[in-house]
Amino acid sequence: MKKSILHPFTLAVALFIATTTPKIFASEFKVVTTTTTLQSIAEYIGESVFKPESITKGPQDPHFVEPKPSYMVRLRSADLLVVNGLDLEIGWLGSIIKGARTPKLNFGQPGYFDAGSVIDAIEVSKGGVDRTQGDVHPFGNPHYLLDPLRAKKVAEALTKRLSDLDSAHAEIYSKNLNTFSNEIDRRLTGWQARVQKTNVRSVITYHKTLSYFLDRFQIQNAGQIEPKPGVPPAAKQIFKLIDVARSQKVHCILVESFFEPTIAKRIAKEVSGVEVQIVPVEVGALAAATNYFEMIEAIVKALEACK
Amino acid sequence: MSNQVIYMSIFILVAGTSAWGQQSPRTNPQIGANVLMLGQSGNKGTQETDENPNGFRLQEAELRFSSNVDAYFRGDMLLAVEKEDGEYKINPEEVYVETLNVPEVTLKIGQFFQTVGRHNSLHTHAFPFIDAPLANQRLLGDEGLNQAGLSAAYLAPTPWFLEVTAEAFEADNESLYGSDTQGDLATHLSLKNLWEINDPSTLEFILGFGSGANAFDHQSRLWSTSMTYKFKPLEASRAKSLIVTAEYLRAERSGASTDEDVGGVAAWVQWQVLRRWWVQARDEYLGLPEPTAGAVKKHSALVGFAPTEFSGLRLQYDNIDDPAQDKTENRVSFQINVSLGAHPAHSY
Repeated sequence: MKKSILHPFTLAVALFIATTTPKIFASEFKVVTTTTTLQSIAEYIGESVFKPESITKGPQDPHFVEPKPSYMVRLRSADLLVVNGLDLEIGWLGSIIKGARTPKLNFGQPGYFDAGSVIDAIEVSKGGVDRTQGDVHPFGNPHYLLDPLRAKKVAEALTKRLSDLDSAHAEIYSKNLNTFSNEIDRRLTGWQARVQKTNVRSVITYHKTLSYFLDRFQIQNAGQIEPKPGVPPAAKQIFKLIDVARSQKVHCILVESFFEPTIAKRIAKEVSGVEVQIVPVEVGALAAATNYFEMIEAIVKALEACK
Repeated sequence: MSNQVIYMSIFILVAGTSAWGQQSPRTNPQIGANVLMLGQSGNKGTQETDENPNGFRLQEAELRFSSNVDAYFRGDMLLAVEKEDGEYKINPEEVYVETLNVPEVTLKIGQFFQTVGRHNSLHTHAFPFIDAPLANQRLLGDEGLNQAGLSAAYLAPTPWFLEVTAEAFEADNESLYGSDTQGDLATHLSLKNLWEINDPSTLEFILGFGSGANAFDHQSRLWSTSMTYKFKPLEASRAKSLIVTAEYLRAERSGASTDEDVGGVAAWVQWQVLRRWWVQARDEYLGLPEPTAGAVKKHSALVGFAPTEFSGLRLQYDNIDDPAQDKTENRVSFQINVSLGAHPAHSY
């Protein structure tokens, strides 16, 4: 007797294959980052092993993200979540992690990697913090990835975590880290020499986003367009900055691409010799910032354009 | 049962925070308060007993404590201080614990807002308008449907966001159920979908159905559906947005002298015209599927100014046409809404 293809055993095997096959193909290690800059660093370390995804997109200000439930879907199948930390994502990440319902990604678990915990933060609040000061980050300025050496440190710690979780590829991660670190060292020397050549020793920024970058390249931050973090400027602040630009001979205003350049342009109109440059502070924030190196390159180029 | 659940939740919440274990300020619960001050003037509301009396008053003060209890549970406690029958009372709006370590499902026990449409899950300070839609007020009561019970919310393995929530709770909500028998349970099932249409826009669609014993020893049934479109450009996430919501609630209470079957639609638009400015409008119709005593129509308009995400000033105008009343009601309300201390993110 010819056996029917619909024999229960055949069906069971077919069902087993159908349900497990996607899992086998999907067994690739999955990394999700909160920002595109972390995604770019993870991309270098995970090259030829995994392709990391980012929750936010480049043009999005990572301070102000709405916790879309679709982000929970993006996160739920991850093996590792890489976060910026230092309260950058405080307004939205908690509810995404909770909603993803994947316990291994909870705070403190091996699947939760807080990059902010491996670097030395600056602008850490001493004493009390109060909301009259605006949106202050009490644990320090969270934009540390704009310093190439701190980015290198994050890459090192990330490599270690990846090797712990996915030891089969530890060798590749370590090799990739080597390539990334060497590239940082090589490009940093060039960048520093180029910044030295410009006459820019002092700049005005919109927000305190560039503190780590300016520290590394030994440039003063003469003032911010925001009177307080997160508070839009009023006329008084504009007059103050016009004074600052004149008295301290600032001729470069760097506006982070998340903010409006209108006020910076007004100051430039009042004070002769002042240039306004729009700079990316996350990978993908501007078209030129295609990866970590190109983002720093774009800021260096902006300084060069100011001279 | 409801009181036991609340006391147990409070116990777990308190035991899990610093009072019991190590006394480190870092393990203190997050503490926050929302204060809503209201000033109102209208052609009704001149009597002290009116539902919406003219003059200034404290609309509500919400106190919130939230914390991870331990590696397994998270606790949340939101108490509302408000005036009821001339006296200030503390109402537990939500007091619950939920699981942190169960994959795919969030289990919740305590008193919490049932997932009926979109509006019922909101705390007063997060209402899009100063007051709740008519259908929510009339069918679910002033506090909304927030009964003590259990909930399981499952994140389905679909490529879009699909959350299936099953709830069982005390059927003692006076407006909808009002069962006199202790231990009578009501159940509710909801499907919440969200699609990311493109980077700036999403579409949310919620469907719900529930039933439970009522005061007439019969069943009450509740249907709800809600659709929300949100638009917010990535580059100007703080400066511009548009939210359009339409919600339909229908409740059927059988066993009364005449079976009650009332539904209402509310549709509203919230437009953020500038970083700190909002312009909003809402239209409501109560009396579906057929107006027995005639339908109530309400039109509202609101202008809001939010200096930061921690404070907001709102001015709202309402025009209410209720056939049960002798004249059309016109009302202007002004609200100050401030947030003190920690403030957990609002759900999307």
